Amino acid sequence: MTRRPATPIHNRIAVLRAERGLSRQEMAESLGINYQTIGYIERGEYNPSLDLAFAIAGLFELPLEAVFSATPFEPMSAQLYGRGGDAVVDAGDVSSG
Amino acid sequence: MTNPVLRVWQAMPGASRRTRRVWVVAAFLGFPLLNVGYATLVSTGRLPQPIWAPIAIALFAATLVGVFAVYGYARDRASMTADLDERERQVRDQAWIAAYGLLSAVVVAVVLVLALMASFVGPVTIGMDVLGPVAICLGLYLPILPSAMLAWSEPNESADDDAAPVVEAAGR
Repeated sequence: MTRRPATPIHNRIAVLRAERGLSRQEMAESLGINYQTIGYIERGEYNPSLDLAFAIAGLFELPLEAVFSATPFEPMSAQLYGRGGDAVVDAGDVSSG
Repeated sequence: MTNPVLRVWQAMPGASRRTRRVWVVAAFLGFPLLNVGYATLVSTGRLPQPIWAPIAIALFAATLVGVFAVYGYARDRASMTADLDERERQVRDQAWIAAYGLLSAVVVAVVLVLALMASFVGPVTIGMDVLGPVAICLGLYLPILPSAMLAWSEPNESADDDAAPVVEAAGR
């Protein structure tokens, strides 16, 4: 059996944090984790457990798929202006660049 | 905050990987070099005691400073009973596995060398002059092995790893 390679998980945590004016420290305190762990997740250097991923999505009051994705999120500018002027209220991906 | 020792202690967790590796090397080379140097240079009369004394003090000080710095970097993050988050637990477990895996490899290598010596050279006698320093090394280094592995292997703290909001990210 060939093992499936680990998939990088993309996320919008940095953008969502900035939208809400949350520091990593504040977010980490709300979640009961180290603030550096937030940085690791934002940069895609650590994939959170399902439990922590749900907790993060819950903190932003968003569904899991709005915060995490197995495929890169489109940048916010592309979503706002790249589809014939259809403005979509969404934030750009950070972990995928 | 005027106490310089306290300031150094507080700055230790933010040390760069290069600095941390210097600490680990100092901690793990100082005491063994002290014993090897004494056994090969001083007890054989090749080096006079007055010249060896400052070297010995420097090596012992390097060991103590290295051990203190390694512990000051890792603190309770290498402890099995510390209250850590899931990433920190993963890093700690990897450090334990790597540290004691390396120790096991060293023990196996030493036993292999002794077995080869006993087979091809002759009987190997291990006296208290060897067992004493080995026992001190074990007592000194065994407890800090996972901390040393953390200090050696953890990457530098990312430049954006502060606690402030990422305001510019909203505009991306």
